[in-house]
Amino acid sequence: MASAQPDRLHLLGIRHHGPGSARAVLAALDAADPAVVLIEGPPDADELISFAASSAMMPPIALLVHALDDAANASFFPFAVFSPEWQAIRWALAKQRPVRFIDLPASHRLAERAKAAKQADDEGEASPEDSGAAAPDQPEAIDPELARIRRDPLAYLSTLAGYDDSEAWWNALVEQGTHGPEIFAALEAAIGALREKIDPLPYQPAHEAQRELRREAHMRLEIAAALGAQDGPVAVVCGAWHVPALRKKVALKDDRALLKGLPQVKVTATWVPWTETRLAASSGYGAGVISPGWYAHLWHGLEHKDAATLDAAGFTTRWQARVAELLRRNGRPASTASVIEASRLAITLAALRDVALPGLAEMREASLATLCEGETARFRLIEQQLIIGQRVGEIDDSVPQMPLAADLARWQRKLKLKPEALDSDIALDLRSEAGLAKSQLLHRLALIQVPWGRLQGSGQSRGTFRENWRLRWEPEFSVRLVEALVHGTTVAQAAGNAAVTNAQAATSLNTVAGIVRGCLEAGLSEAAETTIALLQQRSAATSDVGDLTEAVPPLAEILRYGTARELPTEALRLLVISLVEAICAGLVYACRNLQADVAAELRSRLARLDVAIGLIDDSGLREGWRRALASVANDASAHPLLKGLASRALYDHGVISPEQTALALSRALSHSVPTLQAGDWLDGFLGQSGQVLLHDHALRRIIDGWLAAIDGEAFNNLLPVMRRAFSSFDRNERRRLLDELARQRPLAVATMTEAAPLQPLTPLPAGTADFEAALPLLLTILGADRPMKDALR
Amino acid sequence: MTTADASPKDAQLRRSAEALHAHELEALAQEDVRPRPTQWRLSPQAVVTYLMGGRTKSGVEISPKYIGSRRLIETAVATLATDRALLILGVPGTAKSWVSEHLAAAISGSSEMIVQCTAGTDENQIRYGWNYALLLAKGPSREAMVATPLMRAMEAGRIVRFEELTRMPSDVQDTLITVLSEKLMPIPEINDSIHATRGFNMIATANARDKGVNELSSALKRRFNVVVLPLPADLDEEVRIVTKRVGEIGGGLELPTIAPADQEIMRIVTVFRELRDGQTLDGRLKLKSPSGSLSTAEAIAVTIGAWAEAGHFGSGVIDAQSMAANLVGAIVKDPVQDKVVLQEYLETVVRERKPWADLYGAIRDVM
Repeated sequence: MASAQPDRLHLLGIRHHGPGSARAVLAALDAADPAVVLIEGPPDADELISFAASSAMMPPIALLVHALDDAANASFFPFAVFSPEWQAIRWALAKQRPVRFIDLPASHRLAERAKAAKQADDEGEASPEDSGAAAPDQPEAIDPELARIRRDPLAYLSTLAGYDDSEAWWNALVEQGTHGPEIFAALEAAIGALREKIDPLPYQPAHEAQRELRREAHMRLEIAAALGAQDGPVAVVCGAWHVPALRKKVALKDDRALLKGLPQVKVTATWVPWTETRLAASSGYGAGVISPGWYAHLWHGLEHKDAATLDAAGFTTRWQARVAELLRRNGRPASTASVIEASRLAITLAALRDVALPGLAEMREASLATLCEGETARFRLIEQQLIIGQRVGEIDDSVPQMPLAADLARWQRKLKLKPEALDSDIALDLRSEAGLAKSQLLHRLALIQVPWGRLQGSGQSRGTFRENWRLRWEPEFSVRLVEALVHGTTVAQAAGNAAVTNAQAATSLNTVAGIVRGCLEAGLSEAAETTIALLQQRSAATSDVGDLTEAVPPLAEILRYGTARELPTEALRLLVISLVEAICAGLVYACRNLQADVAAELRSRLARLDVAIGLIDDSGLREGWRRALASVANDASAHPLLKGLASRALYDHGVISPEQTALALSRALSHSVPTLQAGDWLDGFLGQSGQVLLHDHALRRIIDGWLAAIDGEAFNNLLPVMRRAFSSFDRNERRRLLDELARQRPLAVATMTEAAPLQPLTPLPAGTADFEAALPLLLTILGADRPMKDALR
Repeated sequence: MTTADASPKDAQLRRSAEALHAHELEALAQEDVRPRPTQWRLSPQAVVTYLMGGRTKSGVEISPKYIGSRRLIETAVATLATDRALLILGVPGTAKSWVSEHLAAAISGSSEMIVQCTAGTDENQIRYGWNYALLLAKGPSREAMVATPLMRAMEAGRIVRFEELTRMPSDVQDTLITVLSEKLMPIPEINDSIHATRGFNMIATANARDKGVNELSSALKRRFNVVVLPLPADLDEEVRIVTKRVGEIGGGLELPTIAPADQEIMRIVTVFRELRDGQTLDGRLKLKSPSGSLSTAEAIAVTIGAWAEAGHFGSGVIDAQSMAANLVGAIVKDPVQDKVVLQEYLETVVRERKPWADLYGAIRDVM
């Protein structure tokens, strides 16, 4: 194939996202003037290449290729402005030369992945999804050293040459004036030798090795086709690693055989914005670079320049000026004079180290010694923004975008919310139109699983018109937007439909209530009405009071506090009322025949519900709730824990008087009642905190009085029950409780805490005898005997 | 160009860097083909080699003067090459003065233009003084002036060193501002000024941690490039530094020759590092730190002390006995608090290490 006219084929082996490589590629393209440019990339996206010519395409951007039927099964192919592939595409488009991708189509890989996911599903395992590893377990031993060489062979070669930065090495090679093909030829020889050594070794898992063979076969076939189709020179831009394999003579039929019968799925592709953080190797991106920010600077600083016209001072000063600007933005002083000194130092350091231009290390040390006055902490403050960058790319409007992504872009422009790759915090005032619109957009995005913003703080809009959000754009959101397309073509539409669909699919009322709330916050009144109606239907159909009790509190909160937004309040109010009515009707039955754990859960739900109902301004509703509570309190077969809770709630609301409460207490804890039940009742009555007992004198008097009135034998029987009820209080509460009691009977307790319990007491004035008699046991009940002594020690 | 020195070299207690390493400087200068900044004895690269050690082309061994990051030294040398003044910061005992001395020696061939800053230093000691007899006889004139090291360095185009810059009051520090930014020193009394010759520069050292230091005036700080010398990164590096320095100092002090004591130095450095970092080397135990800074320089002093004790009074080998008193002296700076710290360290760490039984016993005896 190529052997007929080897001079026509220019294999440009590059380093992905290397500005040095990009510059060398441009020089080589200018020299070779190829008729066709072939690029290592997914042919599935060939039609999209032409958009790269637009000046409105601002890298970092990526080609997103995903399976038509499953947007989650997707691959990204990122490009930075300094990526050689991107520059080669731009070169070809500017000169109106045909340019194509020649890698193995992504459709095969996506098909494989879909198959693997299906298999995993069938086996009942978690699907590997995006991890990229199709094989679930890899017993083969991969030498990490070799794997690293494979990942970045140029970095390995540069370490051999004694550089610790492969770009510095590449720059040194390129800047020394040997532009053009010689460099690629030399590199090809080096990689060829390297591959000869390590190709037989297991430097990657078998299935990946297989995939690589196929990729190279596909590229060889495409190159042969291009050489056959016309007579001009052909330039191929591909990873340096592949060059020797592409040069190798392999019979066409062998290559074709290798590619036969590969699985395939229908795919679709588009351009999506990418982020600088995701270009960095630290994000886990295999072909990532250490410092996208630095590489972008290198590229812009040295674009179309060789060593002779290089303006080292300008190059250095621009970087140091950026350092200064970031420092200032972070509230640290950084003077222009310091920028000048930093640049001078960086250039001198570079000269001292015999490099033509200051590298990242020289820049860093110079910034540290001057702008940061030697303080490493100050530099660290800005390091991430400086070295990695926080830019998100932009896509030309003319690119056929997924309609949702386009709609989101429109909103972003309208609301002046720019996507950024690093966390940024914003505070929204919901009273202002702009604030409300931003909040609604973010809430809508949350409904379609695009958590661009995360609500900070308590997360609730409880009684406030403020919302604090933390924004951070992730490239995956593009995929989520595609996935949400089934729901609609605008953000509002998709969010509304997604909410309704999710509400229909939801199994618990609680989830539906959450969605209703989400719709209200997102300002989707239609969807809110639909989901409210849905919730109404569901609640009518359900007989599980437990579920209903969970649905009410979030809705009640909206009703009470959500006044900063326009709400279909009436529908919501009706819903809440009907829900509460349903609960009231079924409450007694729901409280009967319960296991201990179910009762405990229902207890906490009812407690929340009680608070929620207090929030709703509707006296009829409250009346009904109190009646329901009363019927629970007086029901013979309701669970004692809930009976206790109901009695207490009634007492709190002032429905029953202290005298009645005392009666109920003594009734529930009488002799005839089994100890366990009595304990549950008391537990439910006291709740899980001793605070009320501390502050409510009347309540304390009731219990105190009841306790003092019972006889000795009954008291002994009740002792374990009492212990249990008080055990949920923490030690501080118990201690303060004892102090409160001691205030009423100071002398007695003082004596008691010092002496061992159950000692004969010093004589006391008459009238306190009852209390004295009860005191030793009271201490025991309160759990105050032993801990007290510990505490006093 | 060294100052006239009448006394015989051998009687001098401590010889200056340029005298001690004259042959290295000579060898480097002879083979140095790289461009040198005006008045520099060596090219910047050769200065770095002089400090970090290496070998010249003809095979002369250059001993390392600073053991640590090469990048820091490169930054320091590059700073001096840009005519910016250099400020070396660091906690006590991180070789600030040492580096400054060798830099001056390598660049200007003289490390002896030095101003020791103290709380009592005033402007006259920095800028210029007056010979009052001449001043009264002839009035203000150049002859009546008494030159300071700074003034002489400016005129001769050499490096002047300021030791412990922050020990002098901030308003006196500010005297240096004009010198640093305009490279000139006005003499208003005679309506004249001294312009610095090429090659003039300043190295200042300062530490921010000691008691009794003043704030470094921010106006002045902006005029320096700052290099922070860190504590040695790991045990091995610190042991290497101590071993090397002990050998040099001990040789200079004519201490009796004794058996090498690498193991004991390792123990001293371990104790110092653990107490300084507040945790054991393996990171398992948290420890209290004493009030002193426990710098590498102090570890060197302890070893020298132990050497002297072993050589003159002991068995001729540095052992637990000879180390104990020196160690306790270095660690216990505050008789109450530090004693508790050391006692705790002794009981929780030293006692648990079986091979350290001798040290445990010896320190207990001292305390």
